[in-house]
Amino acid sequence: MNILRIKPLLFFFVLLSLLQGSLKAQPSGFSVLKDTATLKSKLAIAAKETKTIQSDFVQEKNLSVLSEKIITKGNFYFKRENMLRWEYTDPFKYLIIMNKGKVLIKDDSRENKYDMQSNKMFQEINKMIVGSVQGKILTTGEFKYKFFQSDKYYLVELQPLAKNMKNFIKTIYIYFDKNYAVAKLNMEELSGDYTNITFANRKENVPIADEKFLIK
Amino acid sequence: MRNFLLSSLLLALFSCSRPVTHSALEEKVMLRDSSLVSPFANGFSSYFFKVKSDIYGHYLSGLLLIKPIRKDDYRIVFTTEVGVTLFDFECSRDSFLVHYCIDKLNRKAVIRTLQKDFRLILMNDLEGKEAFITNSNSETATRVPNKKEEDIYFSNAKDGSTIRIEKNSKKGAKKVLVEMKQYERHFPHVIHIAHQNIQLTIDLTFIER
Repeated sequence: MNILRIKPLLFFFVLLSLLQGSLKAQPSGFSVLKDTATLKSKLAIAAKETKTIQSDFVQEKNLSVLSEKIITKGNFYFKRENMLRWEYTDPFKYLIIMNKGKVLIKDDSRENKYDMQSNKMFQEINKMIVGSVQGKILTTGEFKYKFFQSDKYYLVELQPLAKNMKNFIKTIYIYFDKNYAVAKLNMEELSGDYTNITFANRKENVPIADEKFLIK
Repeated sequence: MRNFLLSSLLLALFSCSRPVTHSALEEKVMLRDSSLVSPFANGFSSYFFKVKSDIYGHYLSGLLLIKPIRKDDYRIVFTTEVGVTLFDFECSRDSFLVHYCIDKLNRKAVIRTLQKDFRLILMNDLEGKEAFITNSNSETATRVPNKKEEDIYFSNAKDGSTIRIEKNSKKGAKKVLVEMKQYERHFPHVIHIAHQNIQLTIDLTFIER
C-alpha cells in the first residue's frame, strides 16, 4: 500500500477517533529505517495505481488494566479520490461514510450527518486527505514521524502535534507489509489503553459501486 | 364556591408538601447479602453492552464494559465504537473513583449523575441498609430510604429477578426509572434508564461474547 492508500485510511481512522468523543509502545524486533526516501517513493508509486480498496478488519480494543479485550469486526472500502466506508458488522451494526465533504454516522437505525465545511476539525481532516492524495502526508507538520523496519514490516510511528488530537491519541503505528500494503494499525491512547486493527482479505482495484459511499 | 376552590387549593398545596405515606403492610428489614441480589453478581467475569443514549436531544452511543473486581466493586469503562475510551470509573460499596474521563464529560454534575445511575443498577451498596418490603402475588417491592431520596426495587415474586427500579424524592417525585428486561440466564439483556426530571435516557443492550 502506498501513501495515497494509507493517508485516507490513516486520517479516516483519526477522524473516527475524534468524532466520538489509544496505541502500543514500539514493538521489539524493529530497527530504525534509514532510507525513508525509498519507502516514501514506493508508497507514492503504489498510490497512483490504486483506485479502490476493500478489506475485512478485526478491531481489538485492549483495556490493559482490566486484562480485557473488546473485539469487533467489519469491512472497509475506499474509492478514489477520497470516498471511505468503515462498517462494523459484529457484534453490532455501526457505519461511517465519508464522501464529498460530508460524514454520515449510522448507529443501527439512528443517523447523524456532518458537514466537513462547517466543522474546523473536519476541515483539518479534509486538508490532510487532500494533502495525502498529493503525496504530502509524511511531510505535513501535523505529526512527528519515525520510521522502522523488520523482516515482515515497515513501521511508521506518528505522534500527533495538533492539540485536539493530542488530547485523545498518544501515538499511531502503521504497519506496512513488504508490498507496501497496510497490514495493521495501532492507536495508543493517553489513558494507556490501545486499539489494534488488523486487515485481511484485502482486494485492490475491484469495482466498488458509488452507492456504497452514498450519503443521502 | 369560592370557599370550595380555596379549600381545594389549600388541600392540594398541603398534600404536595407532605412526605409520602407508605403502605401499612410494609415490613421493615435489614438487608442482608441475599436479600436483593444484583444481576451483576451472577458470576459472569465481565458484562459488555452496546449503549445508546439521548442527552438533551444529543445522541451518544458507544460500548460499556462492567467488570466485577471483587465483591461489590466494579470497574466501568465506556468507549466509542471506534475504540476511544471516554471514561473509566470504579464503583465500590463506599466509594466512586474516576480513573479516567475525557474533559467534556469530566464535570461534577455529569459524574454525580452517572455515579447514581451506576449504583442503582449495580445494587452494590445495599447490604446492611434498612429497607421496607411489600409483597404482592406478582412482585416484591423493596424500598430503601436514603438521605434525600429513596430507591424502590421491584422484583419478580417467583424468581427474585429485579425488573424495575425507581428513584424518587422523599416527597414522592419520580427522578429515575430503570427497567430490566429480557432476562436470559438470570441476567437482563436490556436495561433502560430514564431520568424523569432531566432529558437523559440510557439504553444498555447486553452483547454476548
